[in-house]
Amino acid sequence: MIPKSDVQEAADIIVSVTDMLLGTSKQQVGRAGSDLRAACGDMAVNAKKYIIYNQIAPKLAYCFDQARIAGATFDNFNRIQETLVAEAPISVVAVLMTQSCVCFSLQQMSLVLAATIFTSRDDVESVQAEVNTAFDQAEEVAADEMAQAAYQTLVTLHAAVMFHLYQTAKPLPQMLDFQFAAIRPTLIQSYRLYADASRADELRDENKVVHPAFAPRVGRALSF
Amino acid sequence: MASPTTPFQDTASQQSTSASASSGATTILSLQSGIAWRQFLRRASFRGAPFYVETGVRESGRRIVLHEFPKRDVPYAEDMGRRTREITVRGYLIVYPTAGGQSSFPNDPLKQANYITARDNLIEALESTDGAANLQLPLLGVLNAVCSRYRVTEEERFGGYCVFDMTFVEYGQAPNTGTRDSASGVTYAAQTLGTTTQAGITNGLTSAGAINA
Repeated sequence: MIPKSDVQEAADIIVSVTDMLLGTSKQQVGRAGSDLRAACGDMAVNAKKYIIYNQIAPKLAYCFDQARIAGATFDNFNRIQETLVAEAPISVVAVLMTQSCVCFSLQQMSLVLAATIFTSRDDVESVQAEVNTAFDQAEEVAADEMAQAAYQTLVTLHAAVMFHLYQTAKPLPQMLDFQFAAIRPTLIQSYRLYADASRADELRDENKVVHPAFAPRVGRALSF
Repeated sequence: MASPTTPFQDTASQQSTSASASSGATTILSLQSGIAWRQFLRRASFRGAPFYVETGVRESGRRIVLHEFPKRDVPYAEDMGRRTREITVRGYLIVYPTAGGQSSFPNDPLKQANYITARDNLIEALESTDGAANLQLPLLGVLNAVCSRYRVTEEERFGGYCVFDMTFVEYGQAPNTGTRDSASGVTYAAQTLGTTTQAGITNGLTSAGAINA
């Protein structure tokens, strides 16, 4: 039998994870949001029972899957992963749950990245840095725990994600700084930069221009 | 765009083809060894635009990187592959003497009273964006090539005559640009991690004393 205190500690961690998963898509309506709420609610209520009867693994994985399907982002899962890494569980079961949730977060982060369409190389590079930090921590923990299978799969996924990001970044334009002599509408800036006025909205979004008729003369734009 | 299976068809292979074709009958040309090479002459053209050739130069070789070592007499000439075949041609177009402006060869673009059409056709062929094309030279065979540079010269004192200085390089092959489908690799690795993690939870809870149903 698992000691009661261990079950309680592990269940508390699971409940906090389900809360964070629910928080990733509060605005989500429709079937995806409904499924997520149902899965997380079930997990929060029955976490102890699932731990005691060893039924928690597929249900926990399902919660993470539903969160992604409901629209959770890379940053959402990264935040969950960072929160869990900062936890200091005591019992063996709680440690197991924490590390498993970190792995599920990394799994979902990777799946989100595989489906993400990037627009600039800078975006990819900033994500690369975050991915490296997240995976490095998890790999170190897995190596310390002598969990060979987990370590191997983590390294494989890390490599696959980095390769994917590298492949994605290759054809993308870089972000460059520009500076005009005077304040101009984004329409004119777009025409001057690309000989194509239709990219004015892109400049407005990138530089967070308050009014498109008076765009700041200094900004950033895609190189092509 | 015509693209032969081999980038360069040697004159030697043409010779063997011609020799086998003419093996059945002996011609006067083949008997007169001094002028026998004339039977291998072909009309020069690029992308179907014909021209006369004054000189044709073919260049190639090996890309050798020479390593010389201190305190050693013997160098090492490292072979880094074949040098790109480059053909430099001096061609020309000239009016053809005709009686009353009517050519006896109405279908031959080089034998016309007006050379301007042939000149413009050749310029168009050299500047075409259609990629590589066959370069046929009188004695240097066929090369699947692109024109990297040309210069057309017209002189006042040589009316009805223009000179083309053209440089061609072999087209070769585009490098393989195929890439692995990296997204599906991520999906597969992520699924593996999910499965491993679930198995780890099940095994860990079993070890910790969970009740297996």
